[in-house]
Amino acid sequence: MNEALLILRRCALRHWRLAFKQQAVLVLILALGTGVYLAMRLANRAALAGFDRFTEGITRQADWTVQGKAGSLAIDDLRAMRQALGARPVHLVPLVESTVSPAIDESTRTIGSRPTWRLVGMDFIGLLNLRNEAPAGIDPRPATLHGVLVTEGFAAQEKVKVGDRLRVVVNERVESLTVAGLLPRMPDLPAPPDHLLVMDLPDAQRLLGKADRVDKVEVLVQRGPAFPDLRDEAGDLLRKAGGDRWLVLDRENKRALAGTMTEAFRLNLTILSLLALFVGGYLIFQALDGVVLRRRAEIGILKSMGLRDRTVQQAFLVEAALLGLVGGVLGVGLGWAGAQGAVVAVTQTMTALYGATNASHASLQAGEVALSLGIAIITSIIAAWWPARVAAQTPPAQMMGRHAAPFSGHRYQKVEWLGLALLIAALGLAQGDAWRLSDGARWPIAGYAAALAWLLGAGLVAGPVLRWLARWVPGQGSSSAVQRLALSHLRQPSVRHRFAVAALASAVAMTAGMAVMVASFDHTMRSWIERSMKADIYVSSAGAQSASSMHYISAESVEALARDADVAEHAALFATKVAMPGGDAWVMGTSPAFTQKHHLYAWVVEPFLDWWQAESAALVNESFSERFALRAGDSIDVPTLSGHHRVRIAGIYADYGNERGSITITQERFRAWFGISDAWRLALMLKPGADAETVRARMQQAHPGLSIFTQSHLRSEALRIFRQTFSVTYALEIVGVVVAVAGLGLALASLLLERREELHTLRSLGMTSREMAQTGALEGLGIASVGTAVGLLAGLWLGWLLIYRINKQCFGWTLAFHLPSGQLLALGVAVVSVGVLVAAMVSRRIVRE
Amino acid sequence: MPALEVLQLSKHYVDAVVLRDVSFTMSVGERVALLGPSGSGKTTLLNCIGGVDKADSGRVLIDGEELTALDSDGLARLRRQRIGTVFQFFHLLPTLTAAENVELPLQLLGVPLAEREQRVRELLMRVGVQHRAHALPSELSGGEMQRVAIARAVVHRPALILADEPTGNLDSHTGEVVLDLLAEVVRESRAAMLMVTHSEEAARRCDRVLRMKDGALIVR
Repeated sequence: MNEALLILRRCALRHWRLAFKQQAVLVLILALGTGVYLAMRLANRAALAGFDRFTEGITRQADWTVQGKAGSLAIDDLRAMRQALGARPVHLVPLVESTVSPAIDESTRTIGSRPTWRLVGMDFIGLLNLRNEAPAGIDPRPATLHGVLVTEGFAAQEKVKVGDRLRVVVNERVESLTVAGLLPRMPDLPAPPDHLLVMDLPDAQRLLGKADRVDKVEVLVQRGPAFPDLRDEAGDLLRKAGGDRWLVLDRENKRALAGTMTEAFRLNLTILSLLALFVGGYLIFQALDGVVLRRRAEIGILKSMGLRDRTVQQAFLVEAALLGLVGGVLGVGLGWAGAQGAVVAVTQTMTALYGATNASHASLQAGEVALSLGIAIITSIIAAWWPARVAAQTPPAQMMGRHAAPFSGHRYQKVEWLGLALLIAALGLAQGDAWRLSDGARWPIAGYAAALAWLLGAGLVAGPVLRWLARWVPGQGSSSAVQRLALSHLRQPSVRHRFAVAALASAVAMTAGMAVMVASFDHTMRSWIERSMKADIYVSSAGAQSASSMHYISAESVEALARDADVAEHAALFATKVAMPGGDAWVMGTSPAFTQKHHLYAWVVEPFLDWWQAESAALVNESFSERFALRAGDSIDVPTLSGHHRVRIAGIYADYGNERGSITITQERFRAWFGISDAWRLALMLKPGADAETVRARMQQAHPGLSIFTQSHLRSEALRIFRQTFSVTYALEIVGVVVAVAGLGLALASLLLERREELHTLRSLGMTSREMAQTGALEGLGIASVGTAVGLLAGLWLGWLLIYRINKQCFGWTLAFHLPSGQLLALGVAVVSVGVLVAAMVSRRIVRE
Repeated sequence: MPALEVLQLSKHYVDAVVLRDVSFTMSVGERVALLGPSGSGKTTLLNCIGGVDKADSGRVLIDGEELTALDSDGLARLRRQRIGTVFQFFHLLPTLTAAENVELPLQLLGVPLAEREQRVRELLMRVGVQHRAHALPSELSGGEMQRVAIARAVVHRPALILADEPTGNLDSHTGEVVLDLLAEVVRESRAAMLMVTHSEEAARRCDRVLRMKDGALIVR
């Protein structure tokens, strides 16, 4: 290793100085790959963190959290918990919580664009007991009705001070809250999120209409030598006392639950991060390959002086690691900066789709930094492995001489068979089921393995396809010298040709696969929206800024809206969350007559009985069926206020608005089981001739606490939100292709550098520089065409895999396969054109050197 | 008209003179050996005559056409029409078969396919490797490769053949065979040949010997 370090210091680092620009580009490539990966992770993490960090800044991280299985918990449940714990030094902190939004005039109609704050009701006297002193800034008895404590960040952001009023929408009411004080920053606790509003528990219960009920109870076990045992004991006691009534979750359970909410979103980010890393690694490989070629003579000299092969290889790998480290450090900076921009977009999408989170910046986590640096270094070392091996194993005489190594294409026949084997393995792996974790989460490990095997396999078989096609190009005998030379290189592709065509095929396949998935998603969404959104007007609480927030419309308002002179028909949708084994799910109460009349359901499995008539029948959506591995005919126990009710699944419907799963029963049964008579959503059919926009405006004026949308507006908003989820995809697709084409340029540069002696011979034979450059450009055309063709074909199957396996296993949605032929054609033309252009430029430059 | 005229050719690098006022002529069909120790400027002279390197001053005329006045495209045209080169390391294009290597200069000149095929067939037979016509260079022995290289150098009937130590990479027996073959083929093609060599034996087979030392011709 000492020798390797000596070589690094005396030779490699001096090359860095001499070829500073080249090294800077390499480092930037690495930094870009690492930065994209880190930015996505940090932004995603910051947005996710908003889900479970509301109270940590005020109490501390709870040891356990108790949640009702059928929604909220009663005061009796709280007593039962206290009783179960006896005199043990364990604090129970009951909470009510809800999202609230500022009351803004109706001109802001973009879903998810309004600020969403998290209102948490906590028992201030309980807090006093917990700390044995009133925490600074928390008055245990705020005299102001609806007084809230806000963070300094919130006060600065919203430009409010103590005594100011905040107008917010709660359910359908516009309420006025008073800023009663500022939440202090506790020295040993994390900062509370800026969008947190804290209110005294009884006041919050009144405000939110949750008298005598709490949403959850945080359990804090007294620290001390007995803490670990006491913590476990408290958990066991609470679990035993809870029975069917509540769940006891630890921090990991909570995070996992928050994570399951965003599985679809994270799937997209995961694929894109892998794409960024893949193309980054490929570019590093090509660049280091070029470095080895340029330093051939030097390596030959060192080896002739007695340097061992292993040392040469080590020196290159250490150099690659150093490049990875420098690029990684720069990437961490870029990633952190990128995350600050990305977090706003990610948060907005998550708020619209899943609920309130309000991250405005992403902080750097030590673990994420270490992971990113590790990935940069490992990617760099893996990419450098083959060039380092070539440097180590090529005989010194060959390195010092100017002649190239002879063609040895037959060595790669095994690799070609491996490619075929990988493709077959991918077909087999695609049949595998998702790996189900104990908490019900699913990880499509077989699907991911199939995708990886398919991409590698497609890359490996692209080499033989190149050779085969070059052999069958007609008119070789009558072709020009330029054509003949180019074809001769493609007929006997070197390992560099194979790498170039493989990388291009893989990058195009990934891009095409993603394009097919996104197009299918878009197409399916549009069909589903057209089918399920047939009412003229849709009503929800203005406090509900996401598809999953729990704000209700009172029965009186439903009645008033239904009585409007222009309304012909109305249907209310009722909803609540329940805790199923393996995570939360929704129970919906609906009007069977309305849904049947308007054919609102897109059936995955049509009901085998009149489910609304049978007392113990229900419908489930596809996500529920997939998530809990249940089929039509199976039975499920639904937790309700009066205990569990067993229902049989009569049918399964497609539902692209809910990935966590929902059970649908009749509204009468829903009211009886959950005691909720307020509606979650309301759909109105208007009489013929009524103008939807006029009716909407009139209703909105009469009900300022409600969000009232016309059908066309809601449809366009729903599509906008789903497209926003994939907006980053398009940018990264372009990056992926650009990098793959740049890789083709680097590969061609390496090929021509390796063939310098051949260029010298051709010059001696009378070939002009233009003709030699044309030969390189033709080779580039061959590589780009074959890489693109193989990539597009492989991308079709990858799209199928993403749609019918990975997507289905991840969040249980069946999408209809839709081929974006125009987009794929444009992709192919763009890759081939840019590939030829890059190849021509590189060839011209190398030939002139 | 002489096949080659070299007039007061000079070239120097940063601190070393590699060619000093080199002048000589070669008549049509003449075979000249260029001898000299390593670093005497033989290969640089050959490269300047072949138009792949540029002299600082002086003139080179091949078949009456002044090489030093040509741009890069003109030089390429001159090389493909009037010069044939045989290298020490053969330098056959590794992805082309033996026949395709020989055919390449004709393709560059735009010779019709039928004529190309006939000339390649005849030449491969003449140099004795017709049975290896479809073999790749990696499948040929050193002697076979040099035979193919000779065929490639004369296939387009150049006025001048430049040979840079054509037997330097062959064993002595094969070297002698190749030298005999080269001499015969060059004679038949009526081209002039300038051969750089270290071998006195090889030099003796030529019509004239030029000796170089420190960039200058010492025996003409």
